[in-house]
Amino acid sequence: MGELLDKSLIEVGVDAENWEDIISYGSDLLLKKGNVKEGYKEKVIEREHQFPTGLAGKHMGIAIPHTSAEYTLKPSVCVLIPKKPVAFHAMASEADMIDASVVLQLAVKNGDMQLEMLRRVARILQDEELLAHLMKAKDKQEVIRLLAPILEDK
Amino acid sequence: MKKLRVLSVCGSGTVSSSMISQKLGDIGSDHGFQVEAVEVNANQVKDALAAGNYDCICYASPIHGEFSIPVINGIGLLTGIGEEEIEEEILKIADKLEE
Repeated sequence: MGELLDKSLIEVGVDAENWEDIISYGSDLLLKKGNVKEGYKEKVIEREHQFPTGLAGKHMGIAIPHTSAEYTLKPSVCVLIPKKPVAFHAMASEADMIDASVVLQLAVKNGDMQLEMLRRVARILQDEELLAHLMKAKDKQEVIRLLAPILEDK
Repeated sequence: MKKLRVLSVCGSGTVSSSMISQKLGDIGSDHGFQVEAVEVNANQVKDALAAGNYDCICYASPIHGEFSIPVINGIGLLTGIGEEEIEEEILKIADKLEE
């Protein structure tokens, strides 16, 4: 599990006008790192159209764009903090929009590894205090410091 | 031990449905029943219901149609908001199960 948090998959102050922009940004990071296959970006965007992933937290919105396992080479969590919140359609109620202040873009693979990763991502989603700190994070180091206890058992 | 059989539904049948299944499993172990969850995507719901017996459906992506078993919006299990209400619904269904 130790390598889930990767400095090159974290970006703070991402300039994104809309959800396609930020997914595209995250996909490029994952692709550059070699963690996903060509076509991942298009698939995640296509899937987000069909099955949106915006989630309303108590004080802020989050989004967890992803696609199925076939495009994943290495399970990863890409952490993107946009400069200003990005509107995503809400999961299970497409008509609602969620202003996402934190975007956790996932590359998943089937099996136990994925379950453990998802368990940890679920913990982040439910930790309001952590999310509040995350959205205000000033740099990568701060994001790493905040997420390491959950993603890397540190 | 009672066993609650849940059909867990999301867009790809992987990420959100797996998180929901885990949370349901936690609710089960807190209250002394077993949760057997099967994850599917929204298009697989009909076939899954035809092929197996389920006590309820819990979804993170909208499903359409008429169902003979309770259908629960599971988003709260992902965000933590409204989690208690979902837990209550699940417990009500579990209460009716036979040992």
